Amino acid sequence: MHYEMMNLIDGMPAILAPRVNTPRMALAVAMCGGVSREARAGTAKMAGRLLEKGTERRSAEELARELDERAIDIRPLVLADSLVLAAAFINRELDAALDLVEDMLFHSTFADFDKERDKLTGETQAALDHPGELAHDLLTRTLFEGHPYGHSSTRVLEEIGELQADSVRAWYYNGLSPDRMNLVLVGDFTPQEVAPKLSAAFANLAGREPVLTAPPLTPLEGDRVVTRAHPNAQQAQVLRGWYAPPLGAEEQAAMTVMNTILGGGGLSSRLFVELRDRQGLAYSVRSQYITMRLTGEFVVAIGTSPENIARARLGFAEQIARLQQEPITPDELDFAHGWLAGAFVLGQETNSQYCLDMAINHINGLSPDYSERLQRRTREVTIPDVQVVAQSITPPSVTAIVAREDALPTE
Amino acid sequence: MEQIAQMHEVALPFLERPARWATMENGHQIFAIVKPGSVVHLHTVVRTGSVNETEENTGVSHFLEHLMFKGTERFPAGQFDRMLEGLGARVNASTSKDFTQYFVTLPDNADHSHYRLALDLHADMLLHAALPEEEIGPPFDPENPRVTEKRERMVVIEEIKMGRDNPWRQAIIALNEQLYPNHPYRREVIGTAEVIAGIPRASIYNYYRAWYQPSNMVTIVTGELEPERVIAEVAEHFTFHGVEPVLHPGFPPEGSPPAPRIERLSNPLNVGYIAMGFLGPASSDLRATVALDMLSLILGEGISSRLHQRLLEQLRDTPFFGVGSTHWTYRDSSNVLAYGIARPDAVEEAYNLLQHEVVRLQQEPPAMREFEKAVTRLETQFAAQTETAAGLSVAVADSMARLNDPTGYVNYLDVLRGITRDDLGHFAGMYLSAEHHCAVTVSPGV
Repeated sequence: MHYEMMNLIDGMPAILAPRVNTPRMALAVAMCGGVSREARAGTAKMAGRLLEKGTERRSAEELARELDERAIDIRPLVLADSLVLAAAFINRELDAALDLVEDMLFHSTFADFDKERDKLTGETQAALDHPGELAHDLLTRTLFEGHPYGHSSTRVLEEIGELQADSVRAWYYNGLSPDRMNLVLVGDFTPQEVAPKLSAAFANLAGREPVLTAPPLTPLEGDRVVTRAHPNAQQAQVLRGWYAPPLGAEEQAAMTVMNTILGGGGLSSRLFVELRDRQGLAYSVRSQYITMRLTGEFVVAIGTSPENIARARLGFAEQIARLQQEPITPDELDFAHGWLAGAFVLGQETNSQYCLDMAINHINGLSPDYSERLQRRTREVTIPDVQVVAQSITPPSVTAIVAREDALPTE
Repeated sequence: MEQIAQMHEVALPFLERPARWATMENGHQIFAIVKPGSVVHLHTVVRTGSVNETEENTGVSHFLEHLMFKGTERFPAGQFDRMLEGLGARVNASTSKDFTQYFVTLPDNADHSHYRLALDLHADMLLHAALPEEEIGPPFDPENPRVTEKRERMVVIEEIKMGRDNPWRQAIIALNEQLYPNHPYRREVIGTAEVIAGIPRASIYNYYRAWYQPSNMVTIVTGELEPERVIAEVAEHFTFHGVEPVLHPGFPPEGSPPAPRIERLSNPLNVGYIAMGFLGPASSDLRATVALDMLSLILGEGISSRLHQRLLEQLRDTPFFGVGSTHWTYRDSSNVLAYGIARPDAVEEAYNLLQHEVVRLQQEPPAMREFEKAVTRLETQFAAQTETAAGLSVAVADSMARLNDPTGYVNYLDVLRGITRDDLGHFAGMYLSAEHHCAVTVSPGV
């Protein structure tokens, strides 16, 4: 992949990646300041939402109309360690998209705070009507208890009433500084043509003193089991999560390969073949390796009939023990290499995918093309490397179970 | 090898080179789309889905879709997935009311050998599925928790249960039963646990033989490949035996309800859900289909839509947390769905407000700004589909499956640009009438 970097203003980088003959461009502006830097749960989510509620030049309705009438899609994405304003638009709308992004980023009025808080509350309650979401919430808030990474949906509901418009605004503006931001543009353009436009759009960006930093993470001790009843749930949701290597860690490549073999590799992974195909326990069973700046999270998850809870937990334990005790086969390693090569190509097919990937990598202190480098590193992972990272899946862990009351384990 | 009966060049929007559309003598249709890039997408759509089922075999199309991945004589269960996923491919399938489709998306390699292997495996799976008894599992009583030998039957039953835990899915299932009381569209695609637990292999196999016939299948290949060669290669791999004609039963169009049909459900949930549906045209009526796409967009798609602005943003003490609309197209009769998430104590109020706003589309036809917005946004959505090989293939497959030709895709933009504001008023009056709607509300409760 080819990209160019330029200094936009006061050290704020712009990453430009031309891709000819593509109908839509993608633009992302990322800033340090995701969930990890918030003091109260919901701060980052509210800030992201309020960027859509009008600016000094445009009311919320005018902003909505202009975006829709020009078919410019601009979404605020609130992530663990960053906040990204991501835009996609037909090529001819580049100037309008830049104007709108600049306006939303620097001139948002943060209006309608109370109304937006009510909407977020309702949407969150609706999401928690799904047992799977509730189980994920339970896992996150327990595994990262005492840290903003644990600001799950239920934590947001608990704290959102205490949020104030001024504190959300102050939190947002703290991240709005050239040394804590980047801009990425991908599409059918030449860097010479767009560079002056980008510089002009960000000319008024002023530096700010850094105030908010992510607190250190103190891991739990031991293994915990947390349960929650969900009336009438047809399935039990069983998740187990461990701490794992963070984004950019040396072990990330081996962990990624191990996850592919265990439960991240589509229809061929061990969990899928053993728990779904052979035992018929589930439609959905998987493992996931999620990376953040301060830690990673390794999760196995299944939705199964309530009477299968013990069997599913045993199945997870057996498959992880197998990875720890026996080397994977050369065929499995080849499979993982191929799967991950495909994940890289298919994950960067659209301009929006490629743009967002570069923006997030870079804002987290990595090279914009870190995903490509990581994919190359996975090819160098050996069979012993996989066994070593599998052996690092040890306590502490959290098991979260959501099911009908009568099906919940009593441990 | 089967001979080509007809070959057409088809110009597709946003692509430099025309696609090739071949119809083989046995009726199998092949589409080769030239899309520059490093991804190849293989796609076969079979024109059968839950519409061709009965109460006795409801869910068989979807169950068969699962079982198609369970091996052939050449490649036992699991090998197809493993060989392709090991090349970086993603393999999947989906079943709908009108059709079933199978996909392989993979990174291309220099000599296209990975694509050729994928084509070999894809064709083998579709033509020679073994449907092995040991993978299906013996029939069992779904109420008996002591049964352990469940295999793929139980996987599908778990999928059914997963859907039951989704409040929106429950509302939509109930709404479909209201909208289509006579048409087979009323049945859920996934079927029932009772049928899936007990249906014999022979019934599944007979369904497979009846519908997976060349005249009922379309194969689409999208990538940076030479189209003539693609068509020859697809024809070579899709060698059908025991070819039989396929007769699609016709179903009388579902009549609009003479009076509103409303079902009120309650469930132990945090918030209320409202789903309101209006019957639409058959897919063959492209003008009406596109007009309803536009009306749905004006009504409830996007943050400037009427529902969003009037019911969520501008209404004081709004009962809504979220609103929207969509237009679901089906071969025989589409439907427009308007929906909302509401405060638990205000579900009835939210339903009345939603109904009022939909019906206002007739009294207050789209303004010029709304009309122009709908055209621009649908043009952009159309362009966005072409960004991926899979998106482009799915869009062409949709037209081939419902209309048996690509006109639903190829003519979409021209039809869109030919529709007037008066047309929208006319179609709103024809399809979005308060007297003929169906609705399901789900209120929090025991």
